[in-house]
Amino acid sequence: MLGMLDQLKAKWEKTEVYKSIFRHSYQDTQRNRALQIVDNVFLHLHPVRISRHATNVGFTWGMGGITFLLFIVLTITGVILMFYYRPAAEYAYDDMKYLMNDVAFGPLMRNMHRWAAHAMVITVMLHMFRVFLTGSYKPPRQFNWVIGVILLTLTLFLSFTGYLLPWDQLAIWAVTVGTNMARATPLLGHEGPFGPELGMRIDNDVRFVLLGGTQVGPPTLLRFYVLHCIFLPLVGAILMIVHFWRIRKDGGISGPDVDSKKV
Amino acid sequence: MEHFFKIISKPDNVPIILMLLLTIFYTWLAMSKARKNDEQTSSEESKLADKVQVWPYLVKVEFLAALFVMVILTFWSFLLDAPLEEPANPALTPNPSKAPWYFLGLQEILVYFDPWIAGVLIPTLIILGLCAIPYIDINPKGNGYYTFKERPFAIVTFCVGFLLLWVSLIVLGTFFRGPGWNLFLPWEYWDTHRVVALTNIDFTELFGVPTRRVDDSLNPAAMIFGSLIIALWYFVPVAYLWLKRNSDFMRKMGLLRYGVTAFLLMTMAAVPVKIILRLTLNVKYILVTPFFNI
Amino acid sequence: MPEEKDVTADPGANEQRPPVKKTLPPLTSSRPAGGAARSLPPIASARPAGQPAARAAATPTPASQQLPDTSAPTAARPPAPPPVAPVKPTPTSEPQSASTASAPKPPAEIRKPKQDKPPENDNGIWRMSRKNFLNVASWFSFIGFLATATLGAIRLMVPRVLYEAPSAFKAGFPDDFIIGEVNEKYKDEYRVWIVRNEEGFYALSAICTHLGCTPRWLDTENKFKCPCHGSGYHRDGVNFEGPTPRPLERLKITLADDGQLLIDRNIKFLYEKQEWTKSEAFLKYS
Repeated sequence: MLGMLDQLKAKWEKTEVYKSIFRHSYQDTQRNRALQIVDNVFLHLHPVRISRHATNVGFTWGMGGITFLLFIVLTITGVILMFYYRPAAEYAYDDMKYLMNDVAFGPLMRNMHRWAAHAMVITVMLHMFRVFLTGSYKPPRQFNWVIGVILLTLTLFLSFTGYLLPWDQLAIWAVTVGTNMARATPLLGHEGPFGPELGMRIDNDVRFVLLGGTQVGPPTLLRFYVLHCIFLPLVGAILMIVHFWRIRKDGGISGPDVDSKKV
Repeated sequence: MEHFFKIISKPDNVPIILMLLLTIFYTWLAMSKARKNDEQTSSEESKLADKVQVWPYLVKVEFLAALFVMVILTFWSFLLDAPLEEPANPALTPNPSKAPWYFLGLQEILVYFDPWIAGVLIPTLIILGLCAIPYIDINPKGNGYYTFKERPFAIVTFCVGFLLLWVSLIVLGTFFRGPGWNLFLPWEYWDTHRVVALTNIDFTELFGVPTRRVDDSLNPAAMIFGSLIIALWYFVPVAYLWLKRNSDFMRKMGLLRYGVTAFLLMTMAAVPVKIILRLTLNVKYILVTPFFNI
Repeated sequence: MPEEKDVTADPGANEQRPPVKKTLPPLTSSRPAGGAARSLPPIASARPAGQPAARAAATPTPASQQLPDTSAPTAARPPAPPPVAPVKPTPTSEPQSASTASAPKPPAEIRKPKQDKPPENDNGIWRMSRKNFLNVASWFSFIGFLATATLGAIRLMVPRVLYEAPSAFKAGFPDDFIIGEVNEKYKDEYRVWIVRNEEGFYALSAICTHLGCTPRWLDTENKFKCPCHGSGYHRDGVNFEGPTPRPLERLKITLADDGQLLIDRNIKFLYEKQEWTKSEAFLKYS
C-alpha cells in the first residue's frame, strides 16, 4: 500500500504539471534550503542566510513580523466585514447589529478585527521601542527608521478611521474629540492661531476637508470608510514594501559591529 | 475598588493592560540584556553573529510566532466581544467621552495646553522628532545590540518620552480620568456630579503681573513678561552651547544639528514642566496674546 | 568596499561589463553595519582582505554557490560570473571582511565609482537650454498639471452644498420661556441653549469652546459642564474652570415678524472680542 503511494508520488513528481509548479525537490539539502528561499516570491523577501542573533526572539522580540502578521489578519477580516457593512449613517449601525446577532461567525470576525487592530498599535510601538534600544536606526538604516515612523502614524490613522465605522456613541464621540483638534491647526483651522485671519471658517478649513461637514456626520462616515478601507491600507502597503526592501538593502537586520570594541 | 476592576475589565481596556504589561516586561528584558552586555567585553549578540540558513531556522521562528499570535487572538476574540454602544447621537455627549486609547496621552495633555499645542503642534513635533532621531544622534556606538552605558542619554530621553509621556499618560487617561475628566483614584466611585474647583491663574499673575487690565484688555507687561519666560526657557541650550563652544562634542554636532536637538529636547521637557505647574500652582497660561495662548 | 575596489583595480573587468556597473549601488560602500556578516565562515574567512580582485568572480551569493549541480537554471552559470557578482542581492552574504570594511569612514559618505560619469553625446532629460524649449515647456506643463490636479482634489473635498440643519431657526414665542431657566428644547436638534433672564434672551451655542463636545447644563450646580475635559461655564457662558480657553459663543437672536424668536447659528458673538454687547447678541424683552 505504502509502496504504491510512493510509486504514485514518484510518478506525480515526474509529470510536467508537477515540474512546472515546483522547481526543486523537497529533500532537506543545503541547496534546497537555499532554493526554498530564492525560488519563492514571498520568502525571497529574506536572504538565504542570516546571522544567528537575528533569529533570536530575545533580540528582535519578533514585533515587526507580528505587526505584519496582524496587518494581514486585519486585511482578511476587514474584507469579510465589508460584505455586511454599508457606510451610510442610516444603515451602518443596523448593519453592525445584524452582523453581531444574525451572522454566523460575524462576531468572531469583528472581534478579531478590533482586537488585532488594538494589538497592532501595541506591537508597532514596541517594535519602535526595540529598534531604538538596539540603536538599529543608526547608519546605514536612518531612512528606514523614518519610513517606520510614517508607518506608525499610518497605523494610528488606520485605527482611528476604523473607530468611527460602527457608528455608535463610542465611535462618534471618540472621533469628535479627535478631529476637533484639527479646528485648532495653526493657519489652516478656523480656531487655530492666525486661522481666522487667513479666512478660515468652519466650512472651509482643514477639519471640514477631513469631515466633509461642519460636524461628524454621514459624509464623515463615508470619508473615513474610504480612507480606512482603501487609501490608508494602500499607502501603508506600499510603504511596507519599501520598509522591508530597505532592511535587506541596508544590510539585513542590525547586529553588533564586529569591528568595534564589542567583539 | 470593585468599581475600578469593572473599568479595568472593560473589553476595550484590555489592550491597555496588555500594553502596560508588555511594556514593563520588554523594558525589563532590554535593560537586563543591556546590563549583561555592558558588563562584558563582547555583547551577547556578537557571540551569535555566525550565519544560519533562513530556511529552516528563521522561517521556523516566524511560523511559531504566527501560530502563537493567532492562537491568542482567536481565544481573545472568542472570549471578549468588541463593544457596541447605543447608536450615534450628536446631541448627547457621554460623560466622560474619550478618544481612542492610543490618543489618550494627547487628550491628557489637552488639559494642560490649548488645542493647537496639544492637538496639533505636539503630535507634529513627536512625528518630526522621531524622524529626526537618526540624524541628530551622532553616537556611533550601540548599533545592533542592547546597551545602556554606551548611549545613556539617548536611552533615558527616549524612555522618558515613551514610558512616561506616552504610556503612563495613556494609562492615566484610561483608568483615572472619570466624568468631567476629573481625576479619580482607584477606590473612588465615578461620580458624575463631583465638583472640583479649578480656579486657574496665569503664570505672570503669580508674580503680581495681571494678564488683563481693569478694562479687560490684555496687559502688555504680562505679554512681555510671558514671552521673556519662554525665551529664557529656550535660551538654556543656547547658553550651554556658548559654554561648550570649543568642546569636541559641539564641533561634531554642528550648529544645525545642535539647534534641532535642543529645540526638541526643551519642548519635550516643557510638557511635564507645564503639567507640574498646573498641578501644583494651578497655572493656566504662561503667555497670553490676542492670537494664541501658551 | 571590496566590490568597488575590485572594479577599479581591474580595468579589464570594467570594460567587460560597463552597463551593469552603472547600476551598482554605491551606497553599499558605506555599510559599516551589516556587521554580522563579517564572521561569516565559509566565504569571508576564505578570503584574506588584501587581494580582492582575484575573487570578483568568485563571490556569488551562497545560493548560486550551491547551485552547480543539477536542474538549476543553468544558462547563466558558468560563463557569467561577472554580471552576477557586482549586483549582489543579498547583503548578508556580503564578503566584507573585518579589516577592509569601512568602519572608520563617516557613514553617510557616498563614494562614486570612478567610471561613473554622465553619458557622452546624450543630454538626457535634465539639461535645459533654449535649444530644447519643448523640453522645458513639457516639464513646466507637467508640474503645472500636478499642481492643478492637487488643488482640484482638495477643492473636490469641499462640496458646494451641505445637507445639514439650516443655520437659522424659529424657537417659538418668547412668552413660552420662563425667566431664569436655561432652555434645552433646541439643544438636540440645533445645539443651542436659550436663556431668559429678567432683561431678555440670549442664545448660547452648545459647543464647548475647548474641543467641540456638547456640555451639559447642571441645574443644581448652576453651570455648564463639558464631559470631555471638564471645562465649566457660568450661566452666562463665561468660562471659569477647566482647560477651555474662552467663553461659550452667543448666537444672533432676534424677533421674527410673526413674533417668534429667531436664532441664526451662523452669526456668532464672541465675548473676548467684546461682541456680547452688540444688539443682536441679546434680545431685550420683559
